[in-house]
Amino acid sequence: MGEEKAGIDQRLCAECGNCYRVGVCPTDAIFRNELVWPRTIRNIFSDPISVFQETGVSGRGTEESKTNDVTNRFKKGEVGFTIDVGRPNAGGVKLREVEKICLHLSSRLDIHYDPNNPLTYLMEDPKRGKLKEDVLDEFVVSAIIEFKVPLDRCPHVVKVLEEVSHRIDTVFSIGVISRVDEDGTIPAAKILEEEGIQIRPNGKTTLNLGRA
Amino acid sequence: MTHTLHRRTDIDGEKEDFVILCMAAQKFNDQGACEKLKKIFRLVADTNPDNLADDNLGGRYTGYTDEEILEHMGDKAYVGAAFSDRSRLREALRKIKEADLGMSVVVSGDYKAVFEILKEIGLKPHTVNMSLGIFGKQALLPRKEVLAISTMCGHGMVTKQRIENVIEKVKSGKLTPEEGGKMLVSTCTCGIFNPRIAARILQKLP
Repeated sequence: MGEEKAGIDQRLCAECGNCYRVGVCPTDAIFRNELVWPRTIRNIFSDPISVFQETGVSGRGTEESKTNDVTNRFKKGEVGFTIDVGRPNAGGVKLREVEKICLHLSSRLDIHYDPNNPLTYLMEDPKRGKLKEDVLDEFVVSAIIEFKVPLDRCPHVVKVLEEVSHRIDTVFSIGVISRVDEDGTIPAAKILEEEGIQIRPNGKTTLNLGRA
Repeated sequence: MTHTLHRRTDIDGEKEDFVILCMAAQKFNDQGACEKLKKIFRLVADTNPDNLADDNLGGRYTGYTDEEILEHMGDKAYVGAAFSDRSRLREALRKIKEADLGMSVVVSGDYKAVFEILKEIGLKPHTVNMSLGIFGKQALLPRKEVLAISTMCGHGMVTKQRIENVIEKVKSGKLTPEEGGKMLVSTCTCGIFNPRIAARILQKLP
């Protein structure tokens, strides 16, 4: 590099804080600029130790099913969806791409986005899945779309997501949340498999240990 | 957040990859949760996990001792621990069950295997979040060996460029697979990236 200075491309920096936190620069030359709206969004959605003040939860999503043994957010007969946009490793995503998915979902389904999710706070019209204009070009590591539907609508939601998957310039990973019956049966798994929808072996299982 | 759900570490047929997360439900039972979560942290630490952290600060591989992590923990702490075999996972869950502290506990991994383990120790699954996989522009994804490692940090803090760099160093003999695994884990603050599994994958690279 010689006498030249290196800089971080601000258009592509998602403000995740990784380089700063890990101390990759041998001369500590990396520092974080003061973030102002709408750039603050990048940090909320990209830095895993950043806390979204409205919910008190770190990260870009909510507690979703992790505390369902206490909160009962997902009841029997309901299915939750977690759509991780930009995950895994798409190299970051503009919220404009996230909006494409929300607009398509809302045009085909009666979706009520999780009010505790930071993404929902950025919607000017949650009924349509429309984000505020001034946030669309913000670049984040990933964002999570969260909502729940009645159990029998579960396969249809997956089909709608498959439709929009061909129209976006990023990737997304789908998570499907279901209560587990006393005998260990997972109602959502049964209904998805009946429709020929493949489920990966990975799961995130909440145990029956929490109490209010 | 769903940062432990979409892992792809089984490219070599090895399926032993589990993560425990423990936390309070905000606005339900977070008041006074700190001491309970500290107790869980200590119980899990005794089972020799491959990684351990509070994701509000960091963990053993991001420069903190267990005592420093405990000192920093509050009511919003998220205890995260990684295991590469079910025997230590079973032991950790058994200890948490016996302590009966009322905190929520989540186990990520092959959910059918997790259900079996729970049955063995007298626990029941309440809710499960299942992965349907990746959709969209698959051309953006890194090669499967890189993806296997990077998905252990669902927050995307272990980047594909850094993994490729470590792979090159392991291939050229500048790093052992174990050193490579420890280098990669240093950017994951949540305690969910498993350096032992990363080393295994680096060891078996074609």
